[in-house]
Amino acid sequence: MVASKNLIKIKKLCKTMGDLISEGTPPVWPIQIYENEWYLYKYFIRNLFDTIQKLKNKKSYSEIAKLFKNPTRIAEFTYLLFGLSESDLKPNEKITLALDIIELVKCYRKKDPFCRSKKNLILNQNQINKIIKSKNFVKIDKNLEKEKYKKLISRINAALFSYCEFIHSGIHQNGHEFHGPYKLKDGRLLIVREYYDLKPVEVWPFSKRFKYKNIKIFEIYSGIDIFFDYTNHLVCSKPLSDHLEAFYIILNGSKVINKIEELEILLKNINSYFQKALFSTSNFKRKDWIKKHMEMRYWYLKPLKKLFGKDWKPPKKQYDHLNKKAKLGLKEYKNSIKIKNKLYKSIVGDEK
Amino acid sequence: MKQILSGMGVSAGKAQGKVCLVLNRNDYSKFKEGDILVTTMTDPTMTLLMCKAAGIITDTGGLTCHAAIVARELGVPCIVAAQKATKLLKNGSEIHLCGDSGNIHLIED
Repeated sequence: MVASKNLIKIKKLCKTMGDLISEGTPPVWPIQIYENEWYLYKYFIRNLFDTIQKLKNKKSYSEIAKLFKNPTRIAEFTYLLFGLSESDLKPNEKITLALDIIELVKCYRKKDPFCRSKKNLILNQNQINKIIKSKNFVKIDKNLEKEKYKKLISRINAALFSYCEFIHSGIHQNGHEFHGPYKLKDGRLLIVREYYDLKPVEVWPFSKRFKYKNIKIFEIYSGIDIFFDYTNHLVCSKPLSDHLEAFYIILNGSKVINKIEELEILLKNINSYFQKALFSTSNFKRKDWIKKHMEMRYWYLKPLKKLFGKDWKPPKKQYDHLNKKAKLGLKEYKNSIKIKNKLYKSIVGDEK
Repeated sequence: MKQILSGMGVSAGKAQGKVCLVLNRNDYSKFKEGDILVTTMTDPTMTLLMCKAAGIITDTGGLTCHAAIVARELGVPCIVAAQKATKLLKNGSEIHLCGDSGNIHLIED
């Protein structure tokens, strides 16, 4: 018997996913996502569950959440819950895993873990004030070269977004955390864009040559509505760059850039490196992409496994499993109620 | 102008230009700055083309697909889920698209 407050949490999670999936379309590059995910159901779900339970004996939810680095990477695990019947998790373990995901996300998004307010708020007021007072901000709205700034910032974001999509096999959100909008006193909006884990060398060896491990972009907008959903998609009412008023960028945690020449160099570096990365996968077959997707998922657990001296690498049986033919994944994309009910049944079974 | 197609407008603005159908990697080199990129769905390999495009039209997708997100970043008008765009639109045709209404008009075949 599941406690009613826990059932309420799970119902909210399922409704969120129902709305999210029905409003979008599943990524199909490089492999249709539900097909790609199928390969993780049998072994990775158990791996994820056991890793979290083991850590719960020593660490708080808050400490475990920090090991995942950002809330969206945790939120993305929700998609795996559709495949619980393919795993060997017992009924009570399925519910525990769903609740763990919710609690871990809540460590970041305290009041609104599902982003029902269409905001992704993870900073407190002190942190926001500190950012706003920064002298690094360049105001571009009245700058003579504002069009150049806007073009460069938009292209940098587009390039980084695409790079994240590439190394995370279509699930770009596993490589970025966009948060906000934080409403400022004058009505303007602060957005923080964190691109992180840009050099997952163990899975993508060529990323060793990429100059940037993480890139943080602070942006202030006016006259535009910006929304985020549970899995970090950014939706806006108007073209973003038209409404950008100020920004600055931090590279690798310390180097601040905000001049046009510096932005040009950054964009050139990202584009040239990304083209090399694409070239190196130009002969990739389907199975190669499935393998990378699988390895990245296990790699996300590396900081957790490190704490008890375990290797993050997938077991041999997981690699063997890639030879199987995937079952077709979630078929109903447009009906939010059917998706919600499917997910609920997957987690809770026949419990009402 | 004759309306020939419509889809979901996901990145606001209007654009006019020549259609360039991009159906596989071999087509990338044909794309010229200011063309309208027409494809089944965009992916990360097409980002540089998207930076040069005056507008983007895809057969499939929704509000949060790759084409929509990147187009909004770049401020490029974009229509997704136009369903038969890659079949009905021809290379070199001059078209007008509206990323707000989702309508596509033929100017010159």
